[in-house]
Amino acid sequence: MKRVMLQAVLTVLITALPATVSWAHFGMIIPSDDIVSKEDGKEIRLQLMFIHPFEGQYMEMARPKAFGVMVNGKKHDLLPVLGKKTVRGVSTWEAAYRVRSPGDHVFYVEPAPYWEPAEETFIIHYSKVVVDALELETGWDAEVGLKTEIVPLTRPYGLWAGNVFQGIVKVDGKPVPYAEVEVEYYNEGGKIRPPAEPYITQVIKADGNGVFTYAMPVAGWWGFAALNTADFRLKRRGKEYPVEIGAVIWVKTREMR
Amino acid sequence: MNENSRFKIQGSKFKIRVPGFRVVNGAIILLLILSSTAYAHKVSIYAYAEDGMIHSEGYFADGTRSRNSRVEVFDARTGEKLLEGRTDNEGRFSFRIPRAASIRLVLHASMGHRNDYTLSEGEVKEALGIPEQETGQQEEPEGKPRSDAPPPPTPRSDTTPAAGAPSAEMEAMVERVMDRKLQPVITMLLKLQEEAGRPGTTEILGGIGYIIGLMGMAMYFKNRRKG
Repeated sequence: MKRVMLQAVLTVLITALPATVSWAHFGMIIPSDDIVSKEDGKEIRLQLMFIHPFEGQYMEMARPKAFGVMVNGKKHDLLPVLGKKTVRGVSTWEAAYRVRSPGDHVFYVEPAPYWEPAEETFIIHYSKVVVDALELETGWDAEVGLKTEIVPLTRPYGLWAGNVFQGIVKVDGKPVPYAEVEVEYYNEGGKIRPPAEPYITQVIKADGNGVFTYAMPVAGWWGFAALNTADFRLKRRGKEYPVEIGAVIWVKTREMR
Repeated sequence: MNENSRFKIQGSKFKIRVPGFRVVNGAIILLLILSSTAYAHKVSIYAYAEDGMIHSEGYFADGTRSRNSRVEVFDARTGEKLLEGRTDNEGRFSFRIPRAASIRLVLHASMGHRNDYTLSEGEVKEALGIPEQETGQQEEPEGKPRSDAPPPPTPRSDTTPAAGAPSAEMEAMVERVMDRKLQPVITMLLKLQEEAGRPGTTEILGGIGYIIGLMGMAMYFKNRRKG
C-alpha cells in the first residue's frame, strides 16, 4: 500500500514538472480576420505574441522593434498604436487598425531579440500576416523587405482546409535553398491532442529554390516559420551568442461547407 | 485558359479547311479572353469621405480599374437619388458631399455588373467637419424646402437651458467622439474579462495535479503513521 501511494505521488510530481522538450517557438501575429468586407466596419484588431501555438504556451514578448502595415506598396508605422496586454502573466501586444483603402494589407512585426536560455541563443521572429480588404486582391505577394521573409506563392487568405500553402523562404531578399520550415497549428483551447511529440510541430524543407509546400488538414490559423542562423551575433553579459532568425507567416483556413 | 487553347487548336484545324473562318475564330478567342476577366472577378466600389468630398473607386479583384463606369449616388436612408457621374481612367469618381446623411454609391460596370458601398452618416458628417446645422445652411443656397435637409438633432427634453440647441448638439458630438475613441478600450476590457473568466487547460491540469499530489502526500503520511 505504502509503495503504491509513493508511486502515485511520484507520478503526479513528474507529470506536473514543466516539460523541457524544445517545442517550436513562433512569433505570432493574428488579425481578427483574414478578410475585411464592407460589412465588417473596416476595423482589424491584431494580436501579437510569442508562443508555442500548438501547446498554447506563452512567452514574454518585449515591446517590438517595428510593427507596421504595407498597403499598395507603402509602409505605415503602427508602433504608436500598439498596446500591451498581459496574458497568463506574460506580455503580449495588441492594436486596432481601421482600413482606409481597399487592397491587401501586409501586417508585419520585428520583435526585440528574445533570449532562450535552454538553447543559448537569441531568437528573432520576423512575422507577418496578410488581410484582404474590400475585395481588392492585390499586394499579398509583395515583399516587405524584412531581414528574413516568407514570400507567399499561394494567395494567403480565403483558403479552404486541405489547401496547400506554398512560399519562398528568403534571407536578405535571396531564396534559401533547402531551408527548414516548421509548421504549427494554433490549437486554441487545446482542442486537438497530439498522439505523439512529432505531431506538434510539422517539419518540412524547401526545395533547391527555397520553395516549400504544406497542405493544411483542418480549419484554423496555421503558422509557418522558416528558421536560419543570422549572419550577426548578439551580446549578453559580455559574451556573444548566435541569433536564430525566423521568417514567419500566418494563414487561415476555413472548413468547406 | 484550357478553353482558349482548345479553340486555338480548333482554329488551326479550321484554318486548313475553311480559310475564312480564321478571323471569326480569332474574334471568339479575343471575346473569351476579354469576358473572362470580367466574369472571374466581381466588380467592387469603395468610397471614403474627406474634407467635404466623397472619393470613390471602382475596381476588380485583380486590381483592374473599372473605367468610365456609371456611379449613382443615393441618400441611403430615403433612397432618393442625389446625383450621378462616371469614373475616370483610374476608376475614380469624386464629388462634393451632397447631403449630411448616410450616402449609398452604386457602381454600374460593363455587362450588368454592379456593386454598392454605403458611407455611414457619421463618416460623412466628420468629413464635413462642421456641426450639422451649419452644413444645412451651406447646402441650401436656393432656399429649397427643408424637407430634404438633414434631420435636426433630436433635442433632449430634460436638458435644454439657455444655450439651447448648440449645447445639446455639442453634447451629442462629444458623446459620439467619446464612443468612437473608447471603442478599442471597451473591446479590450471585454476581451480581458473573457480571458480572466476562462482558465486555460494548463491551469486546469495544473490544478488537478496539485490536488491529487497533495491528497497523495496526505494519504502517504497518514498511511505511514498507521504502519
